[in-house]
Amino acid sequence: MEGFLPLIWVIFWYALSTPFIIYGVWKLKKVMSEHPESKPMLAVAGAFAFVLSSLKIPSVTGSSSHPTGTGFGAIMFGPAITSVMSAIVLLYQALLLAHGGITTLGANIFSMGIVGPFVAYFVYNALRSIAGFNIAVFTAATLGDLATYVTTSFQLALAFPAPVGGVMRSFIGFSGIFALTQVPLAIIEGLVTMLLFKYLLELKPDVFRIFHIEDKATSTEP
Amino acid sequence: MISSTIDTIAHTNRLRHVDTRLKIIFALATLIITVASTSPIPPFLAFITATGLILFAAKIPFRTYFLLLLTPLFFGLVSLLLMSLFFGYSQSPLYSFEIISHTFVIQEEGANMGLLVASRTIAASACLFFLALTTPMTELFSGLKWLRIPDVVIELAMIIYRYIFVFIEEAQLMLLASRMRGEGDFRAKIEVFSMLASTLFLRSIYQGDKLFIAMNSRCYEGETNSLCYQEKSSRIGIRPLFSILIFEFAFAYVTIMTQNMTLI
Repeated sequence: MEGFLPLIWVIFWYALSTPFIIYGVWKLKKVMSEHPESKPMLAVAGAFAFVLSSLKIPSVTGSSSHPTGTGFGAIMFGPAITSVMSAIVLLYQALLLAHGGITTLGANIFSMGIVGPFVAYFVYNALRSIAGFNIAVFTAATLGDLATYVTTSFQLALAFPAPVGGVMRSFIGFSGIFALTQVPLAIIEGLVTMLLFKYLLELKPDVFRIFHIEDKATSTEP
Repeated sequence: MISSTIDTIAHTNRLRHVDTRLKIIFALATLIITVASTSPIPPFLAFITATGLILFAAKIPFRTYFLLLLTPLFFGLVSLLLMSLFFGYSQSPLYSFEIISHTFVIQEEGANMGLLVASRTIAASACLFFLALTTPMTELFSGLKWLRIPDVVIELAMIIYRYIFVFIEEAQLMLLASRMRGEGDFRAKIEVFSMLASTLFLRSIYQGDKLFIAMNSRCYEGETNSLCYQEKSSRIGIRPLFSILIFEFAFAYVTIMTQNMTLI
């Protein structure tokens, strides 16, 4: 929520997110100039993340629970480009839907655009050859979503440590409240992302060629 | 859909033709000072100013603004309640009450912190609404360019913006169609939703491909030049800029003077 974080944390999270975003912009520039035909895909993934993350349930602690839609982007385009995409989506959330805000943008980019996609990406790559494509996608999207909320709870706890027990006490409180709504949502997001990949691979495998997903998927598919 | 409401208002309000850069400077500076304040008084002033501009200068209907404000109001009140109950030391109880043999104590520090956070949230949201309600997205793109955001990001942002509406339109049609065929249990719902999402994806990509071909045939080379109300090279009006700066300095001064004040 806009204005929830004190100035010092606003600056801190912006500063921490900036290097990732700069790297993401560099990567994006490369992909968009080498494969201009990937632009519609990037944009649809962004719009998808926007629509998914606008389905929100207010949570009582200055933030809200919603699917993030970033697992898809992370697996498809890699985490760096997804960070830039999330930054754009979060800005639209603030300006078009009045969710989130400008001052909390840095913190939100860090949790939803950096930690979530990076976790999803690494989980996907670790599990792909062991557990198969579908399970890897499901686990990656679910854990990526959960990682986002663990980070958000931590950010809130750092900004508002409990007078008795400090940051850890606050963290347990904030994440406990989030867990109620977020665990089921994360599992649903995992399922939806998995099925989305499944149908997309069946119906239009050539879309994936640009990002080299196809060979990975088909080679591990039984 | 609330996004289309904000979008429509942004195109039709009375402040639409004010220089985007001025609106951005005002909104950002007020936001930063509000977030930096350590007493609830500056946020209150920021809220009054932003609300005044929204309702009387931009002539945005009260109902729309009030509905938007409900979210930060709700958040603010809940934070106030939770913080006054759980933040603070036991030496300074303001008030205590019992619910089912459990004593709840409202602490002074907690109540002050809750008031501060609630007022900041509501005031900062009002500043954000000012920008969102008075400035169409296309104008904001030129604002982003002025803020030196890289062209690739702006380009992607523009295409995503276009796609959000393609997506919503297609989704409404398809959801309606699937509802007419009846709804199943939870499992079926998830499956239907993913099928919808993937078909939606494909349809949007086809649309996008077409858009891309159309743009290419019109000499599109990765940069979208559109006409903005303000020309890129034009100077910011000195007088409005000056009055905004005077306001922000006065506001910052008030913030510094009131930094140790508390309401309770």
